[in-house]
Amino acid sequence: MDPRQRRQARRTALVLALVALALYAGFIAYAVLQHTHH
Amino acid sequence: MANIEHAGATHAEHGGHAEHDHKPIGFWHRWLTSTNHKDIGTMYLVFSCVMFFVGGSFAMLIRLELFKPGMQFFDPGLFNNFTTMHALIMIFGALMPAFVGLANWMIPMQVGAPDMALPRMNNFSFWILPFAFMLLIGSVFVPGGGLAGGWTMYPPLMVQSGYALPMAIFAFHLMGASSIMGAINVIVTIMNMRAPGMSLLRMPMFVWTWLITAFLLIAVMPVLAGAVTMLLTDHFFGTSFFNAAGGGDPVMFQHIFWFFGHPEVYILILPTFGIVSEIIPTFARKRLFGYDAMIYATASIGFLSFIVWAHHMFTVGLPLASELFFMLSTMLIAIPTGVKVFNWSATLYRGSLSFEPPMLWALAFLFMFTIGGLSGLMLAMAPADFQYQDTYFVVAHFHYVLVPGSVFGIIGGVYYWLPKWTGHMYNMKLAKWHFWLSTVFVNVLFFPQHFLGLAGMPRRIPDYATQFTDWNMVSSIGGFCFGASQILFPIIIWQCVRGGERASGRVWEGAQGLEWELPSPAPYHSWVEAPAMATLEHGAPVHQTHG
Amino acid sequence: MMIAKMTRKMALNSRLLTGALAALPLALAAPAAHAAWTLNLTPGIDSVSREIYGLHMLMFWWCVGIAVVVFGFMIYSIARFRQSTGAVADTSLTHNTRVEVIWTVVPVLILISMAVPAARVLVNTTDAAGSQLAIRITGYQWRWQYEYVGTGVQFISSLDRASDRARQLDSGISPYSVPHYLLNVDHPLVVPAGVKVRVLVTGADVIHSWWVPALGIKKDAIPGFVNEAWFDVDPDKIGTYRGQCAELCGRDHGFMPIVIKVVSKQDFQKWLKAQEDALKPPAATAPAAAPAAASAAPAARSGAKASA
Repeated sequence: MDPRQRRQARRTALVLALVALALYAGFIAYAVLQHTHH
Repeated sequence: MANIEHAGATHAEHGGHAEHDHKPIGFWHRWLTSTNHKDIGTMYLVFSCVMFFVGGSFAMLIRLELFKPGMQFFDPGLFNNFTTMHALIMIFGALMPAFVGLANWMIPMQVGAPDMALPRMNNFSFWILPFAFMLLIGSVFVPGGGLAGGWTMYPPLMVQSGYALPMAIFAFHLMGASSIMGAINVIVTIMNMRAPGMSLLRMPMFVWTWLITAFLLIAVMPVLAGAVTMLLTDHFFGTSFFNAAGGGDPVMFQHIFWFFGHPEVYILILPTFGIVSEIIPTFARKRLFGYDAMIYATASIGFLSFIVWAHHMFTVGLPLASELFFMLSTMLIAIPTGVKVFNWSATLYRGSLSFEPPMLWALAFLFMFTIGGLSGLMLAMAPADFQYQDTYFVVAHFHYVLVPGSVFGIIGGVYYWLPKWTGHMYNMKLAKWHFWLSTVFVNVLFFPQHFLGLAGMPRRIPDYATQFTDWNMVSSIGGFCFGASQILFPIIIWQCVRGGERASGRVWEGAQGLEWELPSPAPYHSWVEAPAMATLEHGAPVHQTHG
Repeated sequence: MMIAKMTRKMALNSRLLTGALAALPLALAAPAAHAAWTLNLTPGIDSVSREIYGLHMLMFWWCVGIAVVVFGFMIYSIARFRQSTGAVADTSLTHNTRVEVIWTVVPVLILISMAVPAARVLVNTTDAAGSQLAIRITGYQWRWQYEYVGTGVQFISSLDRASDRARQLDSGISPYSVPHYLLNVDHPLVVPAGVKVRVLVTGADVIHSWWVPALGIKKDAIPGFVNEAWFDVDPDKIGTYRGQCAELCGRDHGFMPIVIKVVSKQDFQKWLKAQEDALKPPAATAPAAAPAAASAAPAARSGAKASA
């Protein structure tokens, strides 16, 4: 891979990892909200 | 795709540099620090095979206790531990790593890349797994007993576990991290490293199904992690997410779990769809029928998998409107799944079929997956599900889609690509024995479980009323024979690794796709130079664009 | 006996099932003679379970039909287009929009024909209006508690002694020597035939699921939730029917059966009266307790204990 391609690969990977983290945090946040609105 | 043109130039420039086939020297150096997609793929596959036998041993113990009524061998708590471990090890230890192993081996070869896009992360995502499974399997032996709440881990029952719970939850986090990294690697490789000229709609089906699977993994593994994190805090840190007495909601866990769990079952079958879509055209000597329709069907299944989760929960007392919605959305899945089955069948039609081992497994998949699909359609009917839910009918259904479905697909895939990996042909006669024994006994094992469920036998019970004896005995005999037949598999593979008739590059006369343009065994770095357009055309992966 | 009755009715279905699926040679020898080789769902004893059974059989025959067509086509292709018999592949056959549309639309139509009756049955199962009796069911690890709402009558129903002894690890007692091994309880739930009964299901500790196949009811018993279901047993279906907990609820999940005794309306009134009398101070109950079922007095006593 040339440097540009490598940068692009890393960027894609980072975005996907952030999506995963956001989902993790999001679902817990959703459960907390459900709980406090009970 | 701007990056594609790039890739071509790059490989041409760097071709000379990476030419020499230098494997790392020394056992530990090669395997522990490996960044090579083939070595990592091999480790995934070996790991998966070991876990298949560990998980299978639990299944044998379960069938042993269920051979006849009365408690003969195990305490009921231990039995529950066996069913839980069997499911967790088979799903997370055997099936998922097998698919990642196949992806590692085949995706770079099939898209014309030298390796995976992120090789060091690749190493990391594999080496997490042995530690995760040490924790998970270790949890069997800790005080308080192993996990006994089923793989679905429903609270409040799961919160009654002892030290096994935090160990397992940590193991799930590790496995989740591993799966997500594996999925990221697959997506980045497919998006960035395809050979010039390989547009998305020219990708082999295995690559396509894995791309969709990888998106599903990234979407749902964090959800599982979230659910088990909340279980952990409920147990140890005084929260009450799922504790009704503390104002929590035990059903919410089920919603979150199945929001993960349903896409998860497609994660376990979509790559198999891809493998079968590679094998059938090869041995029918004819392109896959309806390539575009197959892609759209796979994508639709991926999408629908997110809106059907509550069909696992028809008996929890959902509002009528929800029951209707989830019943109808579940029925919709039959449409793209049907499209896939019909297209595979149409690929056979007016082909020139031959029946080498990979084809046998693929055909068995086609028949038995359809049986599992049909019982799935029955289960989709909410009122009928009131009778089926949590019985052996469900057990029969999901084992039909997972064993002669996913597992047969994986075994077929290994028999399909093994000569490419080792450079040798394997013992065809023994492989056919493996096939016929497996196919006969998998039906003896699982078909009677439909009858047991309809007759009223609940799942996850260590002992049963005497009228269920006969079919349980048949099922157990099938189980023992099926289990014993699988021992042939590592033997055949080992012999093939050690030697055998030399395999040609194409291996199977009807094989098409870039991996068959490489010599057998494939070089350590797959496509050091991106395949030329002519090679791509010659390989013409599966499909010619509309015309 | 229920099993025997069930088997006679099922003999026809069993044979059809076996024939259609060509399951196992063993099954061919099976059907009517022996209750144990049961193959199919029970049609049950009330309108809901019969509707569910009808839906199940409708789905079953659709599946058989689809399987015959799809497998027929596959088998034909496999038999007809073999390289070994000189078949040459027609490589031009790669896609056909018309057939793709056909095999997308036809399943849609089939699904609609399934969804309509399914939705009808589903709506019906939720309609508990007009019930004349309500029973509250609570799942415990690992027994059921029944309470006849508004009467004060409540009791605990656990696995019977004989089964419990035999099911211990290496008990040495043959399960075949125990009548209704694992499907018998000390105090069965008594319900009237010909009366619409509403059940309110909940869990005390973990999630259980109250399942009686003959009633077509499976409802999860969830702590903090009350689920509702109903049944209306046919007046002629007097007898004993059995079920089990259907949601994994811990170590003894397999050992908390459900037994319901369906009696006539009159017998039920008598039984309930006896139960209520047994709750009154001892002096008053002495004469009334005599005609009650043997289980009545201990039932009331254990009920009082559990009501805490």
